[in-house]
Amino acid sequence: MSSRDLIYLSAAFGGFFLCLGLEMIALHFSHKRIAALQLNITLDAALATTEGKS
Amino acid sequence: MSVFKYSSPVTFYPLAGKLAPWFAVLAGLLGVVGLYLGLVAAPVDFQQGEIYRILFIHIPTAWMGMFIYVVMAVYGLLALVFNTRLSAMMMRALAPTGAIFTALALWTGALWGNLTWGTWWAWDARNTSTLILLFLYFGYMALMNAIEDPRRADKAGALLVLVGSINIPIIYFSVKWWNTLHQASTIGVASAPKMAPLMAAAVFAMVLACWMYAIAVALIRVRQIIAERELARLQNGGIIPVWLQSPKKGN
Repeated sequence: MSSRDLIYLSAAFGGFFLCLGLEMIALHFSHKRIAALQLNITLDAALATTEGKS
Repeated sequence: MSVFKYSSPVTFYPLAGKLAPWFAVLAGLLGVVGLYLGLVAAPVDFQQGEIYRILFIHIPTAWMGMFIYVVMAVYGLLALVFNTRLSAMMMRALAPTGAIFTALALWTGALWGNLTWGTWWAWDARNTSTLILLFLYFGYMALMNAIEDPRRADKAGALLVLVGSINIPIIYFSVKWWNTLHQASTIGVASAPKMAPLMAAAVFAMVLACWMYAIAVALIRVRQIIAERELARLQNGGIIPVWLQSPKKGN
């Protein structure tokens, strides 16, 4: 295989895996963000309940 | 038990969590098989040499770019006709993956074209209509982020996708309708593949791998969309429903 072919094949396959990898990383961080939002709401609800009792 | 039960986001949420890992595993396995067949087992092309192996990514990504848009259009129709929230959420979940596949099809096509046609880009019908498809994906995602009310955004997005679906037959038949630089389809829907069986097997394995990947990612993303909307609704007070309390466990 010539070096030119190797560069082009690496660019194609590398681009493919890079894009899918980035999409999965983005999904992971999106999941983290939603989990944090969920925790905030849970804490707010718990605080409101505590304040209501006191 | 009716399957329509799963058209509700609340009942679909745990199901998506259970199904996504299976589709991800299938995508990985099929990807390994496809890459082995395409990069190791398939022989060198007598005309193009090694560089033809780009097609093992170019064909699956181009197909998936179009196929995902068709699926989005069907969901869009369901969302508009039956006013189903889950259909609109599935559209939203599929769009980024469709855009990525379309961009990859253009990128790999440019690489292959530079070596075989002698140019990175040609404004021929197939290339141009695929570029329009990428812009349709971008337009849809921009529209979704521009409208604050999710239900209004869903309806506007569904309409945009339905109108844009006219581009899909144009992409598919462009090489037949016009005299294009892009070659005619090597693998057609109604005809036998015009390539060696081993090469065709590699293409099909990669297509299936991309398909399974798209389903897995869409299921994970739709869970996030459901959770996000439910949490946004509850942000002004209320209790988090039981089905949403442990998103990491897949139920």
